[in-house]
Amino acid sequence: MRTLLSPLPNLGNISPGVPGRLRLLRTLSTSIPNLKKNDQLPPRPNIPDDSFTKRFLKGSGPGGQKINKTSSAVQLTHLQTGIVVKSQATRSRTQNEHIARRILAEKLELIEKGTESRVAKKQERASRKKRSAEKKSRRKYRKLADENPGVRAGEEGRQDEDLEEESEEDKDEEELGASEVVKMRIQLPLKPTDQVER
Amino acid sequence: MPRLPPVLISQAARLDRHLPLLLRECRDLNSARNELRWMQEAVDEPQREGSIGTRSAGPHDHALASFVKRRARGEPIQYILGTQPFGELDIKCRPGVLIPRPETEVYTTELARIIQKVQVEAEATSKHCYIVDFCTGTGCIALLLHSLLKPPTPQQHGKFRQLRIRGFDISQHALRLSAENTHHNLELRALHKDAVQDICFEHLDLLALAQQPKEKIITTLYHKYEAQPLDLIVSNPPYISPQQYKPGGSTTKSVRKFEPKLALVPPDSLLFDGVDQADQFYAALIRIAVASRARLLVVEVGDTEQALRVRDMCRAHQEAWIEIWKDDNTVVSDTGVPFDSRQGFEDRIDARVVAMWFDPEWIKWRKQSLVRRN
Ligand SMILES: C[S@@+](CC[C@H](N)C(=O)[O-])C[C@H]1O[C@@H](n2cnc3c(N)ncnc32)[C@H](O)[C@@H]1O
Repeated sequence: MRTLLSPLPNLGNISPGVPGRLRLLRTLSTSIPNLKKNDQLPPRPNIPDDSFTKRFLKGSGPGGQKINKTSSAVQLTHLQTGIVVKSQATRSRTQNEHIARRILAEKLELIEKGTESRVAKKQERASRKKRSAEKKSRRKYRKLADENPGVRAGEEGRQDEDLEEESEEDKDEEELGASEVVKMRIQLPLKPTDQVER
Repeated sequence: MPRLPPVLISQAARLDRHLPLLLRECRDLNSARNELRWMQEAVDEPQREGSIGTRSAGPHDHALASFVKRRARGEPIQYILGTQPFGELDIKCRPGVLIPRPETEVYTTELARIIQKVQVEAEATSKHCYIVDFCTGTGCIALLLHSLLKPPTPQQHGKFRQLRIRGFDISQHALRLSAENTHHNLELRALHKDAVQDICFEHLDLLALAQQPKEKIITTLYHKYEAQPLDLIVSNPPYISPQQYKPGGSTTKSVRKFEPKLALVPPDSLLFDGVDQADQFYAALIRIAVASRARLLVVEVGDTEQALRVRDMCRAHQEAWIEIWKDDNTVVSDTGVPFDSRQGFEDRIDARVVAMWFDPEWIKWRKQSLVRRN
């Protein structure tokens, strides 16, 4: 989990970006050789260290030894766009900072690349998976029902389904629970869900 | 403490039956909800290994209820859950040893950045790095410095030097816990494997050492395997005065009731004449830093007034470049002038650190890098 949440190493390349769009990201320019499935996701986006300011949120009053505060909330403000992302998902400020930074990078990538962005592709993949799982489930249920009449559809039919293991990448979404985009000053050019769901 | 407004309590009760109890100590709904979630996760933790969907309700709810009850009585969540995250580390916490604070995490991270830079950029600096952490407690400062200066992930280290970190404490509880913390974080792969050899925790009474003649201080701090001079002495010593500690003072009840007084208030048998009881450890640390010719001494302080007293003590003793760091990471000169666009002391953000630079080459480097920062 640690490596998942750590920021990517900066390879120092600035992506050329799409003309006419904001150039916000320092995406990894190494293209993935030999795409096995066209399903493969683009690399996780990252942003330069100096493109945002960081604030640890805590109540007022004295600090240090005299008090034991448990606030671990971290808030990042993107300088160019004014987008503010806050995370208090975990007890660790360092992890919260990684999480907030990832959300911010994803937001910016979405603005910059739209349907070509990692987030959009991921959503598309997830809904495709869901559709195929449902199809499989229906098929299985029909088969079961044929063999021993009386079996009910629903949960049982699904449980032993050979659904693909949730990959590490999909899991980290769950941790974003207590994190949020606090402020978006700019308008997204497009909503990814509109695009993929048709 | 002011009473909680009844609306807040009923609002909390509607969300979860545990929240009103947690509010007593947390004081606001947001932190109460966070803490409840963290306790819930800790209670669920062992379950994750097993199969999903077989969650038995009984014992868990019981465990959670007892956590909440303890918290409502003021017990720190870190003693209840047994840990506190600190940088990339997971620091074990137990009654008898002070819980690491977020302010300490912030300046220790900054300190690692400085040490890394000065090692690369300043002249007259060797490839060795020798650090002493006095009053180490859980070992959090020593361990975080190691995790940042020699990170565990292979792609991150480049040209590496030898790193040696020694942590000292008078408390046996602290020494046991700091050793455990080294192994715990090695197991988590949050520390480089060299940490076992690079870091050691030892018993030492700082106030007693400060009374020794200079030669004795030197032999205590330098064995043959340590580089000379000492690059950094860092310390978060007990710094609360008896007035601040007593009920009604600025020390919160939970801290007084659950954390060790040994870690918070210096002893009342005063070693240094004319020095406040709260400042006794700083007098000792300055004397030791000067005797051992340390390049840099960095100490945590309780507030701005204490920072200024430490500055004056240091000025009277030795020529040095002195900085005061505030909780918002602003660096202020020893005359109170900020080095960047932010404010000096007038914004009332507490001073948290006094950094005393003794090495001429390091001072030269530091002044230049502060100019570049603007
Ligand atoms: C405020 S705690 C700091 C702990 C840790 N460094 C941190 O930042 O969380 C102070 C520590 O000083 C230790 N201590 C108290 N008196 C001491 C002495 N005379 N010599 C050395 N250590 C002492 C206490 O046991 C305690 O662990």
